[in-house]
Amino acid sequence: MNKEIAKQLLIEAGINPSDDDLEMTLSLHEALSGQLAKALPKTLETVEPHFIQPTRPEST
Amino acid sequence: MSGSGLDFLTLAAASAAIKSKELSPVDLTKFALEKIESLNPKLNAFLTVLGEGALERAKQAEEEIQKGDYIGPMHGIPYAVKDIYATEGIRTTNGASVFSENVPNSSSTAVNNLRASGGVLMGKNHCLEFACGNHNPLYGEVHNPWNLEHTPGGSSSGSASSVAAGLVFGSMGSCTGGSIRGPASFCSIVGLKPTYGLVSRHGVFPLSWSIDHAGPMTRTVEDCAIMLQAVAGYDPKDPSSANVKLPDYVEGLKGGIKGLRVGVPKEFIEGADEEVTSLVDGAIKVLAQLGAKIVEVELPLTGEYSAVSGNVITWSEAAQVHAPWIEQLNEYTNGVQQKVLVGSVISSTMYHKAQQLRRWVQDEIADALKEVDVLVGASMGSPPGKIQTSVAAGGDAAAYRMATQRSFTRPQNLTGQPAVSVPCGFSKDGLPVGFQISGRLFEDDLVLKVAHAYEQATEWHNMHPVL
Repeated sequence: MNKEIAKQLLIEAGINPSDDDLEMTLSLHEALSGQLAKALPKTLETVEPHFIQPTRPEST
Repeated sequence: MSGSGLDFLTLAAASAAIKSKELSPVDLTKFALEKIESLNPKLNAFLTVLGEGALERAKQAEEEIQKGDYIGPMHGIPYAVKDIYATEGIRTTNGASVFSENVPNSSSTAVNNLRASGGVLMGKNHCLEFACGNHNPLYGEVHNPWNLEHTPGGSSSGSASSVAAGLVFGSMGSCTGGSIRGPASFCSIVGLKPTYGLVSRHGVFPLSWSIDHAGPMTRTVEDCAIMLQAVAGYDPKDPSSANVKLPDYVEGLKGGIKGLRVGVPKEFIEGADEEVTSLVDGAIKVLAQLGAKIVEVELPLTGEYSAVSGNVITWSEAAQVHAPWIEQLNEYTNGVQQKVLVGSVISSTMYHKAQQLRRWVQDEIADALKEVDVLVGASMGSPPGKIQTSVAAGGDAAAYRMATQRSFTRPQNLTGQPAVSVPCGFSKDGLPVGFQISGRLFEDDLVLKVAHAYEQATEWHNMHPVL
C-alpha cells in the first residue's frame, strides 16, 4: 500500500482525505498488514474462512 | 419498602418485593428518577431520561400487578439501554452528533422484549460514538462512579456507570470487542456477552455485523440471568438470530461447580498488570476451593491472531456500515474516522485472511473446550485509567495501540462464545478489576452458573461506590 493507492481507494469510498488522514491510514494499514503477514500463506492453505455461522436449523 | 432500603437493592430482590406487592413499581421508579436527577450531573451516564414516560409505564405495571396480571421478574423494574438501541418516539443518538435529532419510528427487538416483560425504560445511556470511537464532545465524557476522574470503559460506558451507581437495575449494552465486559470490569458490575445469535441485534446500530453482540449489564449474576431471559430468543428480523430452545437461566444458577473443569489459558492473563494478575489468581483459587478442577490450557493461535483478525474484520465491516453517512465523516470523532478510513483501504485479501485466522481461533478454542468446561482469565489488563489517558479517549496512538494490542475479550467476539465479566476485587487505589469466564456456544447458563458460584463465595458484589 502506498499513498497514491490509499488516496485513490479513499476517494472511491467517497472520502476526500487530508495528508494527515493518509498518513494515519497508511500507518494503521501497515500495522495490520504486518500482523497478518505473521501467518504464512502456506499454513492457511486448507483453512476455510469463518463467516457468519448458520445459526438456524432451517439454514443448515 | 422505601427510601434507603431501595439503594443498591438487587433486581432479583426488587422483583420479589414487587411480586409480593411489598414494593410499588411507581415508588421504585420515583426513587430511580430521583437518583438519576441527583447523580447523573456527576456521571453523565444518561443522554436522555424519561421522566413522565417512565412513571406512566410504572403506573401501568402497578395496575397490572394489582389486577393479578403479574408477568415475571422484570415487571415494574427500572432499566436503561445503551443509546444505540432504537426506541420508538425516543431520541436515539448512537452517541454521535450526526444523529443528535434522530427519533426512530420503531424500537429494537430487545427494547420490545423488555417492554413485553413489564420493564420500565428509564432512559438512554451515553456511549462511545457509534460504539467504537470517543465520547462525542457534544455530549461530554462519562465518569466512573468509583472515581470520577477515571473512565468507566467503553463503549457501553453509560450503561456500566449507571448500573454501578445504582441509578437503574440493569442496562443493555453491546459488544464487538469487549464493550460489555470491559466497562463491567472497570465499574465492578456483571456484564454478559451472550452467544452470537442468542439476543437479537435488530434495531441496534451495527459496528461489525459478523462480530456484534447485544447483552445485559447488571449488579449481580442472578440479575443478569433475569435480564437475559427477558431479551433472549429467536427473532426473524435479525439474520443471525438462532432458533434454539432457551433454558431457565435463573434456575440454571443453582447447584455447585464441584468437578467442573476450569481451563486457564496463559493467553487470557499474560501481559496484565500485577494487581490484575494477583486478583485473577485469587479468583481461580476460589473456584478450586468450590471444587472445580483447574487445568492449564494453551491457546497460542488465539493469543497471536485475535487482535489483528478482529480489527481487520471490524474496521472493514464498519467502513461499509458507515458508507451511507460518508459525506458527514468529518463530523465524526477521531476514533471512528480512523476506523472508517483504514477500513476503506483494507483489501478483500486482507479481509479473507482475517476470517481464516478467525477460523484458527474458533477451532483452537472449540478444541480446548472439549477438554474443559469453561475458560477463565482477566477481563481487562488493568484497572480503569484516568479519562484523558484511557484508550476510550482515542487519538492516533490509541488507534495504533488498538490495532496491535492483545485483548482478553476479543477472542470470544470472534468465536461467538458466551463470556461474562464478574467483579473480582479492587486495586490498591480502589479501582475495580473483573474476572472473565467463557464457555461453549449456547452454554450461557453454565457460564452464568460459574460466575454465580464465584460471586456468592465472595463479597465484591456487595460493595458499592459512594458518591
